[in-house]
Amino acid sequence: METSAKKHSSIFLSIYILVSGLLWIAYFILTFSTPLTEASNKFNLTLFSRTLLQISIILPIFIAWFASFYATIGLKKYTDLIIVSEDGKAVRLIGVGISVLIFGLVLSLVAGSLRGYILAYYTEYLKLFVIINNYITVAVPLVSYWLIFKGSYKLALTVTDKKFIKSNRFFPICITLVLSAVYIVSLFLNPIRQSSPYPGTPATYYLSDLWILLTICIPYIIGWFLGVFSICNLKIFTKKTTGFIYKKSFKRFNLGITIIVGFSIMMQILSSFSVSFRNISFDWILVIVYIIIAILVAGYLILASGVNKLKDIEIV
Amino acid sequence: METYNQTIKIATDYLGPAAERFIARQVAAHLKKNPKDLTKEDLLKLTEWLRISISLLTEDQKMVDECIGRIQSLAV
Repeated sequence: METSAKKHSSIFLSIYILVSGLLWIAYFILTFSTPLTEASNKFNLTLFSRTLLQISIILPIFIAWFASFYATIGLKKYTDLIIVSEDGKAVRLIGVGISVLIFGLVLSLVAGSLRGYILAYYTEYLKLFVIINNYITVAVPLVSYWLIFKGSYKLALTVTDKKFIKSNRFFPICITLVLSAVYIVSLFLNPIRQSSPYPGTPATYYLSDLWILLTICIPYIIGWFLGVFSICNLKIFTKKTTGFIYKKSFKRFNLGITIIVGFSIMMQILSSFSVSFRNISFDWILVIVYIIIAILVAGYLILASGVNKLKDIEIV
Repeated sequence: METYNQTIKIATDYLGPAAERFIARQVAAHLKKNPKDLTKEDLLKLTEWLRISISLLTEDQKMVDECIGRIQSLAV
């Protein structure tokens, strides 16, 4: 059973790395071959300055991507060592959830590059592209949060009971409700949610308000609840688990997951303000992009460091 | 079996959920025996290996000494 589980996870990891690698290559090719049109060049950049800019963004993104893979492979190796135990099964679910989240990130990068192409050559497909892209952006993190939640809940149950876990949810529920309210208000204040008067800027959703609420808003909010509960479950486990050495290593693992999930939720909320970013200067947009990438890299490196420390306990 | 369980109980204070796997691995690898057959007579040799292994996981030598001392006390 142990060998079969290890074999399955190895096959999964191989396919995952292969598909992600292909997506990365697609992102690279699409980014550098996207035509410079009037509509897609809001900042009046020359071809040379745009290429330099793309390199300055692609390189840190590649570092973030590499860091995320380093963490994922470390997680896989760690779960292979403890796969038959209760904590092993739980950590495995968290690992798969993190892999799905990273996969979603790569997909959104490819979609971002593809958008430039569609704006230049295939404007008739723009509406369809926006709708599909929005649903992918909703669905992939939702699956990821669900897996991380299942794993973290299982882990928390190894140290406490359901009643205690539920009694610790009041504060996270309040935070998520406030975030959800801010998100819903900003989303429905977005003047280009159904159609856009700006050339080169597509509408955000191309859907009716009811449809946006039911198929975008609500799944997002469910995902945030799952994400926030996951952070909460991991905090409970970190606090209640025994073992000075284990606890110290797990704290780092927990911090990494908290940064990654928390940051992913914040990014989704911030994306609802993207229309407001239209008036921000180009320099500030770049600063924001670099900060986002730096936080992502930090989260994945902290996670990888925690996983390596936990792995050491299992191989010494 | 009793010695093995008591050893795990002490190790859990330091290694949490990883304690059972850790002790089973040390017994199997260094004493070449089934972990459940661990006896009080094995503890002295086992703690020699445990000192080395746990020292690789933490720099807190005081904690290592404390853990080894508690496991050695089971032999008495």
